[in-house]
Amino acid sequence: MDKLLLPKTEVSKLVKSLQERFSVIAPVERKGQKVVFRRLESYEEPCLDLDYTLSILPPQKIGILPCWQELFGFKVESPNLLSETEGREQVVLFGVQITDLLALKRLDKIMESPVKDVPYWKVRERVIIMGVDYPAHPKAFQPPIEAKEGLFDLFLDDVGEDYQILIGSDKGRDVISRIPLRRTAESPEKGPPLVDPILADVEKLKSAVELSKDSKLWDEMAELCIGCGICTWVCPLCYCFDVCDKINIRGEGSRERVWDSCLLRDFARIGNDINFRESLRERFYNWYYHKFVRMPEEYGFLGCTGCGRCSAYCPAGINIKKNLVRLVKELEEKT
Amino acid sequence: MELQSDYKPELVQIREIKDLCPDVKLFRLDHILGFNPGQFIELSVLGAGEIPVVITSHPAEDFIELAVRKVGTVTTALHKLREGDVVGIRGPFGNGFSLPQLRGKNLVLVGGGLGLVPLRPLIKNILLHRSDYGEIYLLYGCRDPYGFLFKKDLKEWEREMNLYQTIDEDCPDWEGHVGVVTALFKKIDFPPNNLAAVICGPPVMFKFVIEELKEICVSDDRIFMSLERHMKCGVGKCQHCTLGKYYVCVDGPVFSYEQLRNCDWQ
Ligand SMILES: Cc1cc2nc3c(=O)[nH]c(=O)nc-3n(C[C@H](O)[C@H](O)[C@H](O)COP(=O)(O)OP(=O)(O)OC[C@H]3O[C@@H](n4cnc5c(N)ncnc54)[C@H](O)[C@@H]3O)c2cc1C
Ligand code: SF4
Ligand code: SF4
Ligand code: FES
Repeated sequence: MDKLLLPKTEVSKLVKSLQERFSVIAPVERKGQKVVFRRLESYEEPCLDLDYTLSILPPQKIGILPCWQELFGFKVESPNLLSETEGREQVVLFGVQITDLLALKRLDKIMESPVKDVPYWKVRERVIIMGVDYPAHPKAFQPPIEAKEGLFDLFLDDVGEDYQILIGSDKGRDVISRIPLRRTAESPEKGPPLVDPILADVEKLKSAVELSKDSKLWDEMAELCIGCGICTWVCPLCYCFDVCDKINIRGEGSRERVWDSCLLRDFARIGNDINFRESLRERFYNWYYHKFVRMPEEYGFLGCTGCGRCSAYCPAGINIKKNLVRLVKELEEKT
Repeated sequence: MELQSDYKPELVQIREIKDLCPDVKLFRLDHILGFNPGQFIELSVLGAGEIPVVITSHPAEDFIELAVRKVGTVTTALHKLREGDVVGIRGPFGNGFSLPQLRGKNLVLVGGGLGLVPLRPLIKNILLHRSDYGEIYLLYGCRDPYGFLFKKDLKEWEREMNLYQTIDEDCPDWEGHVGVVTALFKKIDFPPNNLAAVICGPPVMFKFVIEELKEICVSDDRIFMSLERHMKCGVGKCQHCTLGKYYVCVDGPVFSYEQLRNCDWQ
């Protein structure tokens, strides 16, 4: 079958044509090297050509599971729930990197089963995912990925002067059908992706974390960590949430889901000042426990796709990959 | 059927409100709900928020009852409501008590403070089939005599089971036992075998009660406890209630001690 190619210089044309039909969320450069995902204005172009494009927040936390999400609206007087305003626009999440695509696939699974999270899917169903192939961030540690095609609607694979367009779904095929592309029969040159073995062995990591309860590592981390929660805010597979009500002076309100972080002190606190995870050591261990034990137990996959954000943005310089390597080493020494 | 959650509560009217003790009110809601004793609901006061509350009525009744202590934002807003006002409910959630594991046994039911609230529908259920069970001991402790809930029920239940009540510290209005609930164990001659136990109460109580239950040889798989945790979603998503591999909101709130032995459940 013919390969579809888009010269890199034509990306902005592609985005322009997408903007005619969809609202486009894409990476833009913010003061210097930091990249953030946000809704593109009609005159803007996405920024794909930095050395690496590790946005502070993963795009799914802008476009699908934002910090505040309304679950429903209500009236306080003569209480009733307000009916929903229908007809939200279709959104293209443009420029999602591969580890975030993998994380999104997993988040979809989490929000699908065993209980389907309806508010999540109301948004998710309207989002078209377009991935882009970027050079890896120095703190990233991408696991080997099988069946990449299942992770996106469309993907722009870097093959030198051009992007090769990979189609992952009918939605993707439909989006691209109106865009003029170059067809070629030859196979474009493409080296294998840089992968890191640490996340490849789910069972091993699971045991390494599960059996590490007494490791000194957790004491050391509790010393270093300041419990700010940044690592969880920036992680594409952290989705802990709180639920709160907002009301205005007209007596209309909304119930909102808002990001929470299991590293924050009050996360497991109940009345009478009882806190089930009082110490930072317990909370830090619990963070890893969810990602590397509870999630594999529940879904068969890890809660980390090696994007490197938590390490890149931790103010205390804590590096998750180093910790995982150490835990595996400690496990191997034990057995 | 596919399980799903849209987090939207169903709105129901409060039929009746009663004072149970100085800071606990009983709310009877106009709503029929199929549930298992020990299960809870998420209760909304729109504008204030949503909290987990265990159902204290019996599934066969044509209303649901909740007994709620005023402690913070939502519970205070709830206490301000009047009969006829509207609240939201989602659920039921969690597992509830497993009756087959209690049937045919001599039962030790231990409640501390609000712990009688989840025990009440269980006891009502047991009494519907009283002959299916052996001896029943209900040990119920409160800080002071004013804290005892459901006094009318207690009077009725006393005819069908051994009821022991105790208060933490001596008080002029009280003629019964004084001392923590665990002190009662020494005063009772339990049958030597075929015992099962249920514990509901404040977290500090569990460890000590379990020690006493070990003394009278109740095995780990026959000790059941209803745990309290911080909860938000009730459906295993938000992560607030996690306990090792378990979600207390889904896999609990009732656990056997055997399930928890290897977790940091305290
Ligand atoms: C399964 C279950 C069943 C319960 N059943 C009953 C019951 O039948 N009657 C009753 O009076 N209480 C019950 N509770 C406790 C009740 O949920 C809390 O008292 C209530 O959430 C406090 O809410 P608030 O807004 O009034 O307090 P807040 O102002 O939110 O806070 C008061 C204190 O309660 C803690 N808290 C906040 N949210 C929760 C939460 N979701 N779960 C537990 N603690 C929380 C806070 O950390 C704080 O220390 C139950 C709790 C659980 C988990
Ligand atoms: S744990 Fe860290 S490296 Fe792993 S996915 Fe989350 S932010 Fe990325
Ligand atoms: S970002 Fe670093 S300091 Fe902040 S909570 Fe995470 S590990 Fe701790
Ligand atoms: S209450 Fe949200 S996971 Fe249990």
